[in-house]
Amino acid sequence: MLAAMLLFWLPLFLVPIGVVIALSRKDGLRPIIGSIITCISGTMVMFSWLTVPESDSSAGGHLMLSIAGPTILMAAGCFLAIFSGKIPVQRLPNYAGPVGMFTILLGLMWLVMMHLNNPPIWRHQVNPYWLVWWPTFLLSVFLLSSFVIGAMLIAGENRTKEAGLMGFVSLLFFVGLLVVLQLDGELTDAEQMRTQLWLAIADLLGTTLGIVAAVLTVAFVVAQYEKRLPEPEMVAALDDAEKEQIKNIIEKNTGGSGE
Amino acid sequence: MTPLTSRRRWPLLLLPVLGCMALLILVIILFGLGDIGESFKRFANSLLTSFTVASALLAVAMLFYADSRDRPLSPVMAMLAMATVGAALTLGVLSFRGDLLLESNGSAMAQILYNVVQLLVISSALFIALGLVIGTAFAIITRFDDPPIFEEE
Repeated sequence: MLAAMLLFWLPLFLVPIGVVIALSRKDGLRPIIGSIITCISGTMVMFSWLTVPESDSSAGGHLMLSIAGPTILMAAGCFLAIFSGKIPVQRLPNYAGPVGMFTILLGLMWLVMMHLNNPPIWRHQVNPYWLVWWPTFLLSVFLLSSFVIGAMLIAGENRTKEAGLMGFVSLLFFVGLLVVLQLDGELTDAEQMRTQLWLAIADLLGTTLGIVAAVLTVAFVVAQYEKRLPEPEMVAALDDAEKEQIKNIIEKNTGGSGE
Repeated sequence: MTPLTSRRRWPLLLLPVLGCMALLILVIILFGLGDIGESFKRFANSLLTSFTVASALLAVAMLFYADSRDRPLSPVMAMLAMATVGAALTLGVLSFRGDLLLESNGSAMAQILYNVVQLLVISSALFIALGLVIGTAFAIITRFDDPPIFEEE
């Protein structure tokens, strides 16, 4: 129990704390300390199936390690594909685009092969969390890409071509979902996946509603606190020297004598 | 093109989502549901766990928000209170009405620990999917030339 607490639960608790610390400041030591805490804790969680194999929860860490490979491939693919496109900074060579797309496909194919042939094995059987993660991932991509299509059409001007391509991606994942629901894998069956899909919908709905409720609560708390703050004190009127300084700055920036 | 601020374009956000929902319902009708007896338990456990954990994380985030003010304690305490309410509610329901939320776990504590790992799995699936979708969308957008701002261009 103590080993599980120290080698799984404490690192799991420290992962989000490290992320919050890293994101809280841009300068100083905080981002470095936060990143170090997150990396070490994340590694300890992923290897908990070796350090505390007797804990049932270590199956979660085992799953994280199993999906790390395809996730890194997909992230690297996205990076290559985005930064080889028509962007003003740090453009990569043109061939990085197709390589990036291929890398994303490779990551996805890895996941599909895991479903069909080689699911993560924990304690001599399919990791129970894999059966939760896989349909949730497919469903999330399918639903989120539909949101992105809507956002492209609303926020972008003349983005119908891009929205169409995104629609194709969404359709691809829908077909993937159908395959998962129809085809038995080596160690998983379609009936099991149909049950898991329904549970994944319940999970996604519950998780999203819970997070939205917490965010709305924090927004309400902050709004209430800010409302109770006293009005700022009146500032003294500008003197002649300050007016002159402002005038100079405005003239310098709007005079049009420069480039 | 209708301007960005126009209310007429907002239904465009809902149309693809509704389309996806319709497809999912079609899938469920075509292939059946499987065993759905546990789905309410799963929904309620996910809701309570994600609310509790997100509130606790936001309480930590409030510490850093307080850095930019005169270190007030009230937002931090309010979020900690919310996290405590969520945790107490989960523990209470699992302890006194175990049949309502208890899945295939032996005790309330085992179910709570299972819920936290389940949240880790669900949130990882959600965030990886989000990263993939946003990454693919930007990759597609940067493939094409920007559309001209003025028709004369």
